[in-house]
Amino acid sequence: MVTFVVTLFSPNTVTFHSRSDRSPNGHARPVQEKDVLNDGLASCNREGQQFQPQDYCNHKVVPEPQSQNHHRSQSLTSPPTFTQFAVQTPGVFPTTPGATAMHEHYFRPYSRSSGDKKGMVRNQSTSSLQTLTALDAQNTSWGKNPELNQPKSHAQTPPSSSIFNDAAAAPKVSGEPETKFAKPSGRSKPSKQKMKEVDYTTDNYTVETSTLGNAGLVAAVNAASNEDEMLETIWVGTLGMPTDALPEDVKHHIAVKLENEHDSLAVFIDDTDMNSHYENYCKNILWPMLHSQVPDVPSSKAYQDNSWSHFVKVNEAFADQVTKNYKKGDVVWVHDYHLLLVPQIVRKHRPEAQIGLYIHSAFPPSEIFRILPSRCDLILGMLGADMIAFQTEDFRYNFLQTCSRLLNIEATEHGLVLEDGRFIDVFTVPMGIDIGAINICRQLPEVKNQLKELTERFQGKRLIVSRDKLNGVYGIKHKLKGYEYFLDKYPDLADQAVLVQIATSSTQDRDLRDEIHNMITRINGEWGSLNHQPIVYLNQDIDYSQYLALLSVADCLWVNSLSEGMNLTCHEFVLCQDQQLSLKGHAPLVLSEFVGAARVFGKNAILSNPWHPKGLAEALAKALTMDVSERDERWNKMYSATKKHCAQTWYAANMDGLAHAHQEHATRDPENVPRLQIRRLRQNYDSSKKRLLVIDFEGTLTTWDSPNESVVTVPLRVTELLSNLVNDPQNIVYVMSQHTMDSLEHMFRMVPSLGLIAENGAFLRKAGQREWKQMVDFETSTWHEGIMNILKHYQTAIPRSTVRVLKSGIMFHYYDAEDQKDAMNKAGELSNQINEMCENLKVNATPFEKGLYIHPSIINKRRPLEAIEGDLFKKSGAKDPDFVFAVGDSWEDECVFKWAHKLRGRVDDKKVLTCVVGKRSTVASTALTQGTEAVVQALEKLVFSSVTKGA
Amino acid sequence: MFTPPPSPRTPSVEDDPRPYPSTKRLTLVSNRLPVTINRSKNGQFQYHKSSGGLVTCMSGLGPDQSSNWYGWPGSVESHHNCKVRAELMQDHGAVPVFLEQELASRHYNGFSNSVLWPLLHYQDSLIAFKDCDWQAYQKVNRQFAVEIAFNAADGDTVWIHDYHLMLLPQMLREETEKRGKRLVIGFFLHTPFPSGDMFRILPVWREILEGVLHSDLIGFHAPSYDTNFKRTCSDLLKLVELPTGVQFQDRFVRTSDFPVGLDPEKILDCLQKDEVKRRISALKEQNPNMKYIIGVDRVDYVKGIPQKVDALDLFFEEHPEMLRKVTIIQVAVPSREDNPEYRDLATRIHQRVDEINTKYGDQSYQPINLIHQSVPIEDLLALYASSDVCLITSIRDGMNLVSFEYVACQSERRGVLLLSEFAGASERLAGSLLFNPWDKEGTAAALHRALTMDMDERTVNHRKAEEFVMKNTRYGAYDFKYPSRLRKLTCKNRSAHWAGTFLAELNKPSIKC
Repeated sequence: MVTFVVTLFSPNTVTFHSRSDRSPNGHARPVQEKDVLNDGLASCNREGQQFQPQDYCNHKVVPEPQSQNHHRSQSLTSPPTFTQFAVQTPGVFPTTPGATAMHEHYFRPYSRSSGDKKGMVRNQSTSSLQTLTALDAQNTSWGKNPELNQPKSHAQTPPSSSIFNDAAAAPKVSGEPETKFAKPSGRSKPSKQKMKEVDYTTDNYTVETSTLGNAGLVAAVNAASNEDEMLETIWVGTLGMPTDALPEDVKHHIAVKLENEHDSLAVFIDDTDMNSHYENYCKNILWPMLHSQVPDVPSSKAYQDNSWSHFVKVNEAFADQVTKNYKKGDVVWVHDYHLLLVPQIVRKHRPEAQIGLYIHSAFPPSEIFRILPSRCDLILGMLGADMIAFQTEDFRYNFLQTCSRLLNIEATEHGLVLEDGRFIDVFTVPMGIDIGAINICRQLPEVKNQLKELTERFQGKRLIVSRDKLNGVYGIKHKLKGYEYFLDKYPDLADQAVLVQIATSSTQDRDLRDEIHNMITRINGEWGSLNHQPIVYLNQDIDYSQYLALLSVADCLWVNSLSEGMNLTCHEFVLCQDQQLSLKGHAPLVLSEFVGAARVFGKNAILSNPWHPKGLAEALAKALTMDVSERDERWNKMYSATKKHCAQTWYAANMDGLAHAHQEHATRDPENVPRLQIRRLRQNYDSSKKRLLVIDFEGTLTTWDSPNESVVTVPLRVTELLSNLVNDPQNIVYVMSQHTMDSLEHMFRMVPSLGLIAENGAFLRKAGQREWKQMVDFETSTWHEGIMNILKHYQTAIPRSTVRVLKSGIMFHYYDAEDQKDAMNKAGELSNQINEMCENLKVNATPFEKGLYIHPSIINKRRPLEAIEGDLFKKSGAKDPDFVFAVGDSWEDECVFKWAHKLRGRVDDKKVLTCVVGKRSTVASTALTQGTEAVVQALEKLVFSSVTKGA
Repeated sequence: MFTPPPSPRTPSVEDDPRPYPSTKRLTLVSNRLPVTINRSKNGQFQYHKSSGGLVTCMSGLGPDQSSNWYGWPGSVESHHNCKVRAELMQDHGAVPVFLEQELASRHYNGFSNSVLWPLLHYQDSLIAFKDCDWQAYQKVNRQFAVEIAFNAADGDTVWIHDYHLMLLPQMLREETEKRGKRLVIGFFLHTPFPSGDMFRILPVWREILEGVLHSDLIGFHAPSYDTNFKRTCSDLLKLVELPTGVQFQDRFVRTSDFPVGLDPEKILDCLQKDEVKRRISALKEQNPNMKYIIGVDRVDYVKGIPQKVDALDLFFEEHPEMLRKVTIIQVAVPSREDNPEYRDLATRIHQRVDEINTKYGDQSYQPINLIHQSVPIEDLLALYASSDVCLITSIRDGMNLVSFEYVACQSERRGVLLLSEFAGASERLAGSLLFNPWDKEGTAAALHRALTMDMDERTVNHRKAEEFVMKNTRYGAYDFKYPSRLRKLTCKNRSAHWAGTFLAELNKPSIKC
């Protein structure tokens, strides 16, 4: 059994090697490549083999149009302008415009090579190192890693601008430099020429760890694999780079290599599709929407390139790869919003597959989600899964409500019930970090050195640390407003406070970047002095060891996102504050209440509303003035939460949940429910001395009938059948119905000793008795009027629908409606409206054939059966029943089947038979698919057999 | 002329003269008084009854309902306060609540229109929360509360309108209880109410929710707003939610939806005017084969005008055969022009319309005819009556009465109403074509379908829509039989339907506290 971990970007990618050192006849130096390729752990031992000086040169002039690189190269040809950063020395940051302090020169940019220096903990740290980039997943440009030598994109349509911006902000894919800052220099771009020296051949690449993709997921899967050697996981993902330029044989070679040596199935996708899918649909449309970012005005470009169709194509390619490799018993675990359609497509080809879906991002309220033109397709795509899991209860709730409001799918406590009765488990598992792996990294001497340096540098300062993507969702603007308020209102603290804001680069929103730069310049100018700068701003990621050191010496971590799935930086911060490395520690966490982590840490973090500058200032002041005992207490609780919700438990919970869900669903699958064998039923019936028969009426004994028939009549044949059954002294027969007590008495007046269950379980008349008994206390006064008001509207909306008031509830019928499809949709809407509105009241709307029954949820058909159970079993002087047969057709009969199955043990297993009428997902042990006629015939055969036997 | 010394009449508990008989009366409260004040050259004040929204909704209440109306009269120099107060009271039954210029601006432009309005319409990126605006909002609500409490009599009914005064129910309770009076308080929100996840980004959500919850009855235009409100109360305040309302502290607060309607009689009468008829035929003569698409919106980001223009662009791109056969008349009524957000929007709309007119039009044909001003009712009705399609692209909208007005004018033409599913009207108005205004392709497709729909389908749809518009009116259901071209409508019930229903519900004995 294999688990396919399906994610847009595989943790593996490749880099090609420069041929600048080729001999004139075009042959590569044979030795080195061979060594590399033969080394199964190439990616692990890359250090020292690849980073030749010439490579380094090449790295400096990679053709990628990443903005920072661009600034560097431009500074050679044209004088720096205001927007340009200072001339770069390798390994030092561009400084903030207007910055006065030297702090910025101290921080080192994040780079793979610096991260890779720690050969000694390779296996462990690969995973944890990536945790650093977890944030970046949704915003780094695809295929633009400046440190890897990868082909350029051949995407056809230049990707459109973001929905928030005009065309100026379009990410460039064609390798053209940005024109916004640079005057055309007329000189050819040296990068392009260098690029041509790289050949894409099968012996010219090495496998690398990808910096794209979901690092938290990689860390979690690695952590789980480290714990359990038997675990077999296969990654399914793209290389995260353009592949159109690669010849087919190279692609094939890479695919085989990845599959054999790295447990990875590569998905190769056309550059145009990939670009449109990722840059346009995912980044500009879907991701903002999932984080409740309503676009101001959709710039026409965002929708112009049909990015949706590319989204579909990419999802199909993934599903195709999974389907091709799928073997019975395998697990398919799909990740995140890039691949929402994959579950449904895989399900179509492999109906029996075990499919899970985990959403790492946030999920918005239905009112926001419905803005998406493809809203229904997206939801339906997700519904192919057996299990869907979210980071927090809020997102889960939003999802369930979206399903119910947009598609009228019944949402229950544990998940969704589809029309065919199929159930989808929907639950919450917050993601976490691999504590062990990070701890190993933290022991590195480099971290300790950095820590020492940082401590000295910021002596006497209070460090507020933030690390966000430069994107509107992360609320940096809101944060700066709050910080300014703080500087103004708390002058005593302001003198010492330094906000270290790391804004990892993003080419997306230039306006935002400029705006933030301006705000910071203004704040530093206004509140700073010659020896104090209130904000240290780095528009790039920092070195990982420095990052760990920074988290360890911080006096506070400040996360201010407007919406976010989880934010694992919080977890890393809590871990780093354990006082292992530094005397400082147990620092508080100021956390936006709209971040998933706020649900994990709760009130132990200082929760704040990012929209409230004053509140933010107060939170910050509280963090910086908190006394030691409170800090310790809060930190201890946060640390327990970090340990409790770690990567390993996250993985296990998902896998257990999925396995459980799948098993449940498989047994209920109508395809797996065997046909009722009449012969067996008869044998068991004949060989029993005391039999209990529980028979549903509507849809089982008779077809559903118009509720407007003034007198409900029971077909003569059914009356006769029941009489015959009841007349056998060995039988105890109950009929369950939604009709009222009076109607039932009238309907079955010819069969006086029949047991009756009225109003779907609200009332019981025991077999052979005359009195009715109310099963549970319920009240209808609190909700009756409100529901009737709603029903009035729906009665006008669905012509010829009717409302009947029962003692226990209200029946809404649309049996006679002309437009049945429309009526059904509206009834679904009504049912969801009622269920949502009456959740606290414990009132449910249960759909039945062409109607809804609105009732207190404590009423069900199981209660009366439990009431008679006491009479039937273990009564002195009476025999226990030795045969139980329950038959029904609808959703509310499921609890009857469950009740019957519970009798197994007291009654011979084989003689407890449950049977569902029709083809639906069920717990019943058998099924009859030919409707009421089949039921009546089967029962008649029983009567006949006992008659002949008696004769 | 002698000018009385400035005496901003801030009432106190001591002088409680009860100037009105203490019979049960109705007090209406809205941010702005329904009267506009101008000053003539000779310094005299001139008062004009405003014609907009609420006023007409209330006018049906009739003379038997003795009512007075509280609101801000606009800026008046403080030494004229007494005079204006007396004149307004005497001639219009209006009680002015004078606000300082800056306070009024922080309350109206600041908190109301830059925080609550975008929040209630899900435009969180436009929210600019400032503490000083919030203070002003509280202060203005308190001032209203003090003035009303001062004059109110025990047992009076007070009906408060809209998002500018969401704290007033609570403050009014506080102020009246101090004076030993009890009021019946109703609150009506004329905007959408968002889902709880959106509402809680408001830093002062608790204050606002609790402020409103001191009402006896809270009304909304659409059922989903009601549901969202109750769900928000139960999620954020942990209140017990029932289908008819929520339990708040020791009282039960009823909530419900009361969809506002039109005065169809007035529209039908107006359509019979010669002037209107002349305009209709003039439009027809001008270009007999032209199909008109009408759009009437206030210039506001919630109306989705840029989305509309984008969809039209796509529509003409996909259906060049429709060029010269279809003209869009977009009436864009200027609104909130002192807010830069709104000025930018107007500029953007002009730019986009120009672009499209240049792209598809020439001297003889302009696909979009943008009218960026208020249009007299006669012109408007003529435009409604002459159009084959009405296109409403609101991205969020409390109700949208344009949809109703269009339907009321279409008994002959039976034009197609294209209605955004994000407008409150879509939850009730049958017979309209619903679409998602964020989905440009879907909108363009819906537009094509509307323009090519056959008369049978148009008739069926129009019949459904008309039935709703005629029955759900401001004043009461009309006797109306279909089809009859010239109907003589007789009014069954002259009491205001919408307002009357709300007030009847408000005064139900069961909910009095």
